[in-house]
Amino acid sequence: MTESPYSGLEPRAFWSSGVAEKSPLAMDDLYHRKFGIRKSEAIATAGSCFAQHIARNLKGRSFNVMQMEPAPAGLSEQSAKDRSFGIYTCRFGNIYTPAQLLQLAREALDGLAPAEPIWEKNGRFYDAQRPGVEPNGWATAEEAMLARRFHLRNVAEMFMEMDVFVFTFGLTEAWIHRETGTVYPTAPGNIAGAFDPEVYAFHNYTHSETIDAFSSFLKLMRAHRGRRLKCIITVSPVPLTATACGDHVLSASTYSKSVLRGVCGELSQRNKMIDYYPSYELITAPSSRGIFYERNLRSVSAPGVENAMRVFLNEHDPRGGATTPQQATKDHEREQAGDDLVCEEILLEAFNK
Amino acid sequence: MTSNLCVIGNSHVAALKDGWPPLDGLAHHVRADFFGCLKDGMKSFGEVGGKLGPCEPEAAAFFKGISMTGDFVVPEQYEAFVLTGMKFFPNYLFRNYADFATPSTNNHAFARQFVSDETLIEALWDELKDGMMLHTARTLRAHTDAPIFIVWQPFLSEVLMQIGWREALYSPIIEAVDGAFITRIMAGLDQHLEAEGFQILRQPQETIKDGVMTDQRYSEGSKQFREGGGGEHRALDVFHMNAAFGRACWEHWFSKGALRRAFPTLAYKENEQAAA
Repeated sequence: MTESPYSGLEPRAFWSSGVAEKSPLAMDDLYHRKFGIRKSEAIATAGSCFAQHIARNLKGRSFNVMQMEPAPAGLSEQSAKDRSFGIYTCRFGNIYTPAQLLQLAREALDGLAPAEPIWEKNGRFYDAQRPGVEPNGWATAEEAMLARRFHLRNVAEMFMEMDVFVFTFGLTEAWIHRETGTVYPTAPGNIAGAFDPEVYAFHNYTHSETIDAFSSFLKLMRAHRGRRLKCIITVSPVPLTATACGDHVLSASTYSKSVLRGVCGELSQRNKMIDYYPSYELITAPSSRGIFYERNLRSVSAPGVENAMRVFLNEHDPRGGATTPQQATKDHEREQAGDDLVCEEILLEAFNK
Repeated sequence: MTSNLCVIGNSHVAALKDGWPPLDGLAHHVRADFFGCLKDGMKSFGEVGGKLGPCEPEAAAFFKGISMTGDFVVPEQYEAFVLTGMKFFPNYLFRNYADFATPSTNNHAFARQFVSDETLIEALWDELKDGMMLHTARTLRAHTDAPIFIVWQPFLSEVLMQIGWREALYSPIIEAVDGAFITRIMAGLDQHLEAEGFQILRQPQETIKDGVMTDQRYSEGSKQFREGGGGEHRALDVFHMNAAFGRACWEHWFSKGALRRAFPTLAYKENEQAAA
């Protein structure tokens, strides 16, 4: 018999010693990996904006980050980024919700056909599921569809070949097709297409819907692959740019992140092959007093990213040393430039008038 | 009255020099000086004592010697400039072909990705925009308002088909009859070049084989770019063209188009001859 189940617990179990009295730069004991990643294992990355940092840092440490749709040789880094090359394993742009991830997997592996697949703007045609990847769109809807077929072939290959899947949960808010439930990464009318309330509707995914979507995704992977898949899941610490749910954006963001954090917790507790990496906590901890955000209190600052990634890499590559100096310098310059991430959601700020 | 034309480049100047003058009587109206450096010498092209030439000493000596002027370029002495070679060639366009299909290509059956033509035009521009050719052209533009013509480096000679890895690179394009696609993407740079005040000259259609190579007749016996005339390139040289190529280019460029318009006096004389 002990006095209390709390007696004898590690300092990390108590708020005062685990958070309040601790430097936000020394929160390394916040994360203990569930499983290792061998450098030979094929890592696929997808998700919300923050996942881009994970992919880049893993590449910097020579992990086998898959690149199924690399940029054409000659294309500059900036031009490649403008066209969503090299950001994730495939050129799918940001996948903000598990519902969209599940839909993509079904489309690539089971031939699901999303509704309203092509959006038009000024006589050009855009892939509604990744409207930002071709900045000027396509000359015809047929071209846009052909591009999607090529893309799906690569996505299917990614799903079949990956050993580790890194996914960052970004949002619960999405726009869906009323009749079919097809989900889109951005509202029609933001980049292309037109918003028709008779056709499209706002949807704010609940905890159960979110966990069901990701669980269905895992089930689909098991059915097609016949071998285990390691998943590392995170929640993006980047708040919502805007909400359409009717609440204050702070409440909406808190709801969204709370649901996603809860879903990740449950997924991680239930499945030994799913590891939750707490990038969200590392950036948002009260002890950091907002220092890991830029002045817009939304974008994660370069030191914030560096701190979060250090904790991750200390667990997964403790003997890896620093990211190569050349790479680190390039990353820093990019981040200083303030246009580091490719994020369709930030375009919503343009409607703030 | 004689007009003056200045040709600048790297080893590719030799074909244009050996093919000059192209037309009977042209030499009476247009006098040409041929400047250049070997390899990457033109990278150091800049202003030297109010004239233009390579800053790097070895390249500078070659540049002065090869022109037979013994001097650098004095921009105000010329009515027009033709820039050639200097790695202004769509290398990556050929290397990307097997992996990237576009709405304009016939390689949909085997390419891994489908991208817009604009994406490959942008890749080509990114490849060339800070290269030796545009460095030279921009340096010139800063010192003259005269027309500056940029010449694409010729397509590789068809002898490339005798070189295993080059044959492997080109065969899919030739078999898919995608020469028009390659030309289309190259033409996509016109807008960028014209925005900077440059005009573009292309090799004549008659010199092109299978849309993406230069007919061997225009490469065999090509001469090295050397003071006093160089020896022949090796038999499997794929890059350099001969005097017949140079002559075909000049005749094509002078018979119509922008280069002719750069010499109004020539146009008058030609018309006069035609009337006669």
